[in-house]
Amino acid sequence: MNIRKIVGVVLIASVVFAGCSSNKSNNSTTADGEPSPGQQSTESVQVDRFRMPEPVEINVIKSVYPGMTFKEGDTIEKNEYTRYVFDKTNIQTKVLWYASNTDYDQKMQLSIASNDIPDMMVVNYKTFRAMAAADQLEDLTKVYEQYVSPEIRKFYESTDNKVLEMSTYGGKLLALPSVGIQADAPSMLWIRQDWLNKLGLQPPKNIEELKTVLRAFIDKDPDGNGKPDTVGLTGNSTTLSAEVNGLHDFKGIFNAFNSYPLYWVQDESGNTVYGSTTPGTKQALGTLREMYAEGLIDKEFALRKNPDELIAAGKSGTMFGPWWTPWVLTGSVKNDKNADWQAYMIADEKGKINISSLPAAQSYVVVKKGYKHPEAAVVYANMYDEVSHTPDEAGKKLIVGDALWPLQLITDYPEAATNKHLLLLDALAGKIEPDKLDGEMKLVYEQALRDKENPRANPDDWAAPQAYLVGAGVLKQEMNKIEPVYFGTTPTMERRWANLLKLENETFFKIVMGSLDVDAFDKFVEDWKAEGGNTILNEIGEELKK
Amino acid sequence: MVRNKTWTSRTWIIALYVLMALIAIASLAPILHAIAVSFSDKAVAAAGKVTLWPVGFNTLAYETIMYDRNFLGSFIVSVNRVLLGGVINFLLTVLMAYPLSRQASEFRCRNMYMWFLIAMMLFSAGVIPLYILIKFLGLFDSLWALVLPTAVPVFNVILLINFFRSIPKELPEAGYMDGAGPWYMLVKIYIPLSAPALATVTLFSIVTHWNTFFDGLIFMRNMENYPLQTYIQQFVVETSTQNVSSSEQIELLKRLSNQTLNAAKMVIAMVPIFLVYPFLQRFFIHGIMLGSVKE
Amino acid sequence: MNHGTFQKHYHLMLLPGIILLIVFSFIPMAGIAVAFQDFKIGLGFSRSPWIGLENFKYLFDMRDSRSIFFNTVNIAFWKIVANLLIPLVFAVLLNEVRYVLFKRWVQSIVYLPHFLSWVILSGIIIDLLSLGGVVNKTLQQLGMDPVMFLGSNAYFPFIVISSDVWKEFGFNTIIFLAALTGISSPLYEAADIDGASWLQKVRHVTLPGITPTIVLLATLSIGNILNAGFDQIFNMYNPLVYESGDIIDTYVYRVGIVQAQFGLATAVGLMKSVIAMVLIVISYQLAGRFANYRIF
Repeated sequence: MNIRKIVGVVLIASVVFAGCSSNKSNNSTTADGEPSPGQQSTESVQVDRFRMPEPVEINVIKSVYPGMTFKEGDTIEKNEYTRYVFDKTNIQTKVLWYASNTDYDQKMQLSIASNDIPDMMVVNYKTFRAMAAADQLEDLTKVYEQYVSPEIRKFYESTDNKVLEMSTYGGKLLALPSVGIQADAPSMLWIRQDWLNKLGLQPPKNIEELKTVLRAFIDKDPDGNGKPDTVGLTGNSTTLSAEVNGLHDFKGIFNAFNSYPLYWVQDESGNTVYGSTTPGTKQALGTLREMYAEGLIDKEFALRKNPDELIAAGKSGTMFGPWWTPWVLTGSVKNDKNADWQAYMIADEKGKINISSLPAAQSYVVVKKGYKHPEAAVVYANMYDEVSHTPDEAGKKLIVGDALWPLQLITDYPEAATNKHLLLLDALAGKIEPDKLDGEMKLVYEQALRDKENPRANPDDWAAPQAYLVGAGVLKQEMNKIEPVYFGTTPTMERRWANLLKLENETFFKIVMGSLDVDAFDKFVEDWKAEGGNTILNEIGEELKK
Repeated sequence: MVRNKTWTSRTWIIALYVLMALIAIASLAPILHAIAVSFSDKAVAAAGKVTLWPVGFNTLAYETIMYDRNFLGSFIVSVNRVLLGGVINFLLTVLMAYPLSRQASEFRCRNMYMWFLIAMMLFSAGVIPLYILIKFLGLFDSLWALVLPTAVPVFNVILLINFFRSIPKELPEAGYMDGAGPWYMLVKIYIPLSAPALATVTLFSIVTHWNTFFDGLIFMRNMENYPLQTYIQQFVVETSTQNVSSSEQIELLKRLSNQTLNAAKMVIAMVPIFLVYPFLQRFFIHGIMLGSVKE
Repeated sequence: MNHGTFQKHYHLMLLPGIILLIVFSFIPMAGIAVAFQDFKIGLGFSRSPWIGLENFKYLFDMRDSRSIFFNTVNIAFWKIVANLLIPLVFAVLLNEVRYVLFKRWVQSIVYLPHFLSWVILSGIIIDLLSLGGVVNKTLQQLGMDPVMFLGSNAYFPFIVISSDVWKEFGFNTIIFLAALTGISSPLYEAADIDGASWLQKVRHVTLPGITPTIVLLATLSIGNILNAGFDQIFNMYNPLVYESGDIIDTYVYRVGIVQAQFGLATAVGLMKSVIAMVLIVISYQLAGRFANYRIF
């Protein structure tokens, strides 16, 4: 009896799994049913780029922030944003599921793995490539040419069309990319200006000056409590140099040695190299090692899960972080009203400021293969671009980037953060009417006014203006921008990367903390190459030739 | 319990009590710390200045969590889940433990069932197949998706089998003599005699149902159907490594490294223990087998 | 007595539970197939390529495979031992406490750390063991040099094991206490009449009374020999202690950051389950053969 039961169960099981995989075949049949765009020549047919002729429905998945609330009677599917979208474009939104952004990625991975995907969604590069390879995405080449607005075209062209290249797979455009805002790439030194003033020091411009300042911060009791309880530069237990948006790391120091750990860059002779294996990296590690030995870096940085504590407690007055670091510094400002955090870039010995740039595209709007109206994605993008830059009266009431928009994509210049910085400056100087600002910047403007009146009284009013005025402001200066050559994942990387990264982290941490010699770096480079690094470099070379 | 005076020297007893108290203090300290942090000022907590007493007392963390109607909704979902799931767990645990506590000579298929259960406890194919199954059954957004996959807590069943078997043979044998059937035996003899064990497994299943958050996250498509722990989990934000460019993400940044929220979440997780445990503990004392005879 | 007529009742009692297990545990196990696939999200079950034992090979190919397996078993083994012995001793001692209210309080309190997540607890441990923390201050008072405990491969496994006991020993204590209440008082009375000392009673009455529970918990926890506790180690380790603290689960997690590794994760799960099953079957057989004892 039990054998039969088991056989029965196996049969049921196979039906279950067959049921889930049959979705795909349904989809591909509907794909055939769509009118072939080839019949209409792009130039001859006049289309409405901003409105679908008939109402269409898209289902999406949404990431919202935790504890989001709705106005009375509104829901995730019916609110001022979805109404605006429908009024403008005839696109009706259905929400398949929604989750807070902390959980969203995990849930989305599971959805895609189980082939339970919405008509349209926003994904990252890796997911985009995986879905493209699995032939799950609708070809947007034709509808893009036909529908895209001149404004979006202009922004995409400002990246030399690199964003479109990144969205192309097998010769087909499979996504509408968001332009990567380059502001997130540089790592800047955030430092307590009030401490500098107290000790009569100038802000550091290079490594040597940074060392001098750190020495003073440790020895000369900058917090004036009479106790030698201040530590130097903060670090973290995960990485010495984060790929992007690192907090409490040493990326700024590596960059100052023309070293770009974790990035694939070109060396002087034009060969692709792995940034963590360059001579500059060795120099940077050597310097960090000396700094650590001298006590200029937090002794226990490698054990800290939460280096913010040192900042909030006023024990450290220096950390590296991106332009938006002020949000992390609110604890410090709350605990000490005098804490005046300013940002500076650290230059190399020639006085050049080196930074590496981010991928041109940062996220991708994709359409599920077989969805009947792929042009709706472009129509939506046109509308969203318009409301971002030249909103109408109804659009001005909405906030660009709000979680309630059915889909979000950034169509802007890569320097958008700097532009916002300038805009905010102009508004504060009275050069432009505050009413001309969009919803988001208006909020920051009002916070800035409040903070000006009563400096640092409310850390939440302080953070955003400080990020835009100081953090983004620093980025205006001339910088030596290194363009990494590759951002993808090669087959060997999928299998070997965790190995290589472990080797790298273990070696680097031990060098800095003194348990390995600086020359262990050479051994690391050898091992790294032998254990898969060379294969990966070859694979990247192959891909770049394509 | 019977007192025994022969071994009790005073120092022994005092040492015992002191030791127990010390261990209790060592266990209590981190809890008090978490409670203190949850009621402290966010910035002070971030500076690591809170030990065992709140500094800058406020209830902001709890207010953030309980801010909107979703909190109450999730609370109700969780209570329903504990009630429904707890009852299902209890019934199935008892129903399965009793036949499986028989000897293989009494119940022929016993060992086969037993190994099936153990295999089900040890093996799992992960979350994707379960996700597909729940979708196939149309159970997304339903309370059943939270209670059915965990309906049989195999570990609890095995514990209870063990307890059922430790009941002295004389009692059931007397029952059989009187012609009682298995259902009568289970309800009238085994269940009343196993109060401490039943209290233990009930406690475990209540705690599990109250604290599990992951299934709520993946099986509930509408956030209004989140159980409480899933709802709270989303407030625990870690440093984002993604690009920060939308106001949505900036909203997140405000909550960065918010230890007070994290601690408040922990305190809420412990609530059912404070409520249910004292009640269940009665059975640990009264569960002594009355009048049972020595083998 | 005639158990024959009871059989169908027994089947009937098991029926609902077995059906639920088949639907929600057994059927999904078809997904174990993923362990033999190079599972790609997007391609799903049906189209991901089959790669045989490649995922398992990967585990033995990785850098420091040997030290990772050693770390895993080392930490898991001592956790299993400590998490059985300490709760057992504690439960036996607590059982001697006559003051009921005190007993109840202690019993409840020691269960509470179970509810603290490692995110919070690791923060507390890192603070306690930091250079300026209580432990190092004490060492300095005693004239010793401060130690960076969590950066030291000599101390790290010990810290992991002992802090896990701190957090979890209340759980098994509850099970043991429940078992202790099941020992009938006439046995103790008889021992009293024989003039047995406390230790003799523990040895001859208490321990035999809860032996089934001890053996059961021991057998079930053998299944955890490859589970060294991901959450805990993930929250406590750093590159300096990879040598002694990197375990299979933390390693696989880092692999997954590069590319979602459902195939590898399932393979690891399968390997753990098979080893657990084998160990449990062996202990079951050994106990049956040499002690004529049935564990479950």
